[in-house]
Amino acid sequence: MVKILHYLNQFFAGIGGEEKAGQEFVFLPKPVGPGILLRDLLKNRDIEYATIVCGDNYFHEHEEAVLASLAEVMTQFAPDLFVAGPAFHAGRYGLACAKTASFVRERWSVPALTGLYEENPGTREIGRHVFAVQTGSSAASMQSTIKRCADLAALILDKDVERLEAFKEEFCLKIPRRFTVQASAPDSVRAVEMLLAKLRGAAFESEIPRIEVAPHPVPGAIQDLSQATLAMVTEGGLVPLGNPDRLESSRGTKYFKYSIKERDDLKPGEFEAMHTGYDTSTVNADPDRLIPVDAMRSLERAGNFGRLHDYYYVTTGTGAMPAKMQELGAGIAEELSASGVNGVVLTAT
Amino acid sequence: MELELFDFHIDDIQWSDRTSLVRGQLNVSLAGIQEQLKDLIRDIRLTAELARPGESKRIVHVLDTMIPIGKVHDGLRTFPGIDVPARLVGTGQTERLRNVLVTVAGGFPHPEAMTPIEKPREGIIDMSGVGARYSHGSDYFHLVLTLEGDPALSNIAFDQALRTIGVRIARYLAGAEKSGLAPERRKVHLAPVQKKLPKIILIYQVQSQIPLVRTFYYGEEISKTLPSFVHPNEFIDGAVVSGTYKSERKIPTSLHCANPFIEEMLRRHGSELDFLGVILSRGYNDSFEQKKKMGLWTARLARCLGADGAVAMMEGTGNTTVDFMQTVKACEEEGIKTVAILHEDNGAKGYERPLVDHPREADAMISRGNRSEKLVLEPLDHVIGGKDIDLHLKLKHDPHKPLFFDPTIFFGAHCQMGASGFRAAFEN
Repeated sequence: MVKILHYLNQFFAGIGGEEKAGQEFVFLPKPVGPGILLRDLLKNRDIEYATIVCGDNYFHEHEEAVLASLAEVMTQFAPDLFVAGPAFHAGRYGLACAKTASFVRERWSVPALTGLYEENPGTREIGRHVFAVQTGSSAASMQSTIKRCADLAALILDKDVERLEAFKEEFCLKIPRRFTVQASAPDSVRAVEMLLAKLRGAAFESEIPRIEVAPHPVPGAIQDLSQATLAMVTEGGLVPLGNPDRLESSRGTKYFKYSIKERDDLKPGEFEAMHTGYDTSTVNADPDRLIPVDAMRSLERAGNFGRLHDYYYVTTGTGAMPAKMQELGAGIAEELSASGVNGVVLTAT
Repeated sequence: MELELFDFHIDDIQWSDRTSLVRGQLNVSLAGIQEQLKDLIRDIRLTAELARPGESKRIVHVLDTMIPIGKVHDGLRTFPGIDVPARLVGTGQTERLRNVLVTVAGGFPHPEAMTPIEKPREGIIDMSGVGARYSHGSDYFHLVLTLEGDPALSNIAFDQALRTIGVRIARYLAGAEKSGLAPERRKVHLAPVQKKLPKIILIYQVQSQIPLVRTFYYGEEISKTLPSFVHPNEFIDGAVVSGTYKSERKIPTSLHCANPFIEEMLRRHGSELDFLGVILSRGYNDSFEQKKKMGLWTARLARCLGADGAVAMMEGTGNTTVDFMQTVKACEEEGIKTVAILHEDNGAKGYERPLVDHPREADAMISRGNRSEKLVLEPLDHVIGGKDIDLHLKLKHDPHKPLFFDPTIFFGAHCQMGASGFRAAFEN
């Protein structure tokens, strides 16, 4: 007997549409919706089938709690295979499928499969060794997708490694990602050998691809600075003393804004820097050296620019993931732009 | 400049009344250790424990590891300048307990007084299980010294003490009376090469910024120094000592003394290449202009030494990659073909850009694997060095519970991932 656990959202579980997206996490000891199709395709096997359902909004608003509930189900039901979706092009659902499948595969080493359309944002959350069957963009392709999932499930349950590889090659999404693998020799040996080859003019293959970074276009100058509202933004981690919002000191994933309204300068003892990437003692001694409120006020008074925005924005740039920083930067820019800010003084550390 | 090495490999480590090396067994006397440290541990509580390869032991809060090295004859001392006046090292005779580490663990007396950059990062050595291949020292026998500083001690005094304790016990163990075990003997020198072989330099960029985040050369903090030529024998004798507690990314003192890159170059010297020696440089310079200049000066020094090629490696992560890449770029522009070694940060799901900085000139890279990929780490039976795991300044974790974390929780992880032969590669 084998056990299959299937994750579905409220819609595919037949509970309801958008109005039911707040559906809490539930466990059902039976197949539901696409699970019934899948179980039927695997009917020559002795299968105990269970389903977990969670609303799309509920998952994203309570992700930690949902994963904790999933962990309990994993311990109690102990499935041999985890199936999520398929989610097609549904963004929130796709993310939930990718995250639950990755969670199960990474923590329990239980094989996990899902189905996604190639442009589903969930494709960025697919963990290592999770099978992601390529689907069409809509549930119109449900029948054929479930047929594929059943073929894949059979190969997984039969541990047919060779045919699994062939299946992956043909039907799974190609998402180039880099993971740790075993090389033939330690780094010191490979380095010397690569250097000798390079010196001989022989062929060698660099182990780390160079990824061209998209150039940042330089924006045009502000035409009339005397009318402009300027804001200050930093990745240097400056927060009110005590770090009330718990900004991370490295690998930042958040940004915050803090008021500088009616302040002529930032006093030591009122602000501190949370940042593991530079010696923060100089900033703690005079926070204006990171967010130069003193200098900006004097320029503002002298009429060098219109006015200083009432808030500064802050995140922590050290050890951060570029994709996350792009997301934070876009968020800050959007807020500033909506507040009528025309220019930014960006201090980096 | 010739150094004669006497390498002893042990089979076991045990407590005993007397410190000695009898056949393959290293006997360690706790009283002997306390005697060595009596002037240093008045304000420090010291606990000593043993760990062996393959044991179900997890050593937490590791601050540094030292390999037992001692000079056979008096007059010269290993680890020059740390707690003894500096004299030039790299000559004479050195005995080493090649698979033993003096492992210093513990916590600083005043963590609350540290700025984020000063705070030590968690550094675990797993002696078995999944983590062993990410932990520097998992294949060594350990004498673990866990230190707890009295509040009367400042952080700086504790920093000084832990380093002194480590090197002193490393010398003490190396000097153990030995019987019934013949060392492996060899001479290390950069003999002139007659054949036409490519002249190779090793570029060795370390982290040195401020107290608690620094590296020493002959006991001198090198935070504001220029790139220097260092003879491989000086590394072997402990001229370079670590004083940084950025655990996963640090080059532990034991790896400064027995560095796989230096050993690999020495092994091939005279047969496949002409090893010119090491350029010790430092990263984490403050501005781009300074980073660039450090690269230019390193390349100029390599050029003047006659290098045709360079292997470049670095300690650290993040912005120091720019210093490192400027060095690679400058070397290539000086006509020195260069291979550079780096860890990758591809993210837990593998799709992030691997490197912080990657100029076109860095066309020959060696990968040490994706250091941000998550691992399931089952608990081990015994925990040494502390009562909890510090999840990088964020949360505490019970070391008796499974941990789901990336390799940055391990001591010397960057170096060990490289030594374990890990690399990153594309996978669908």
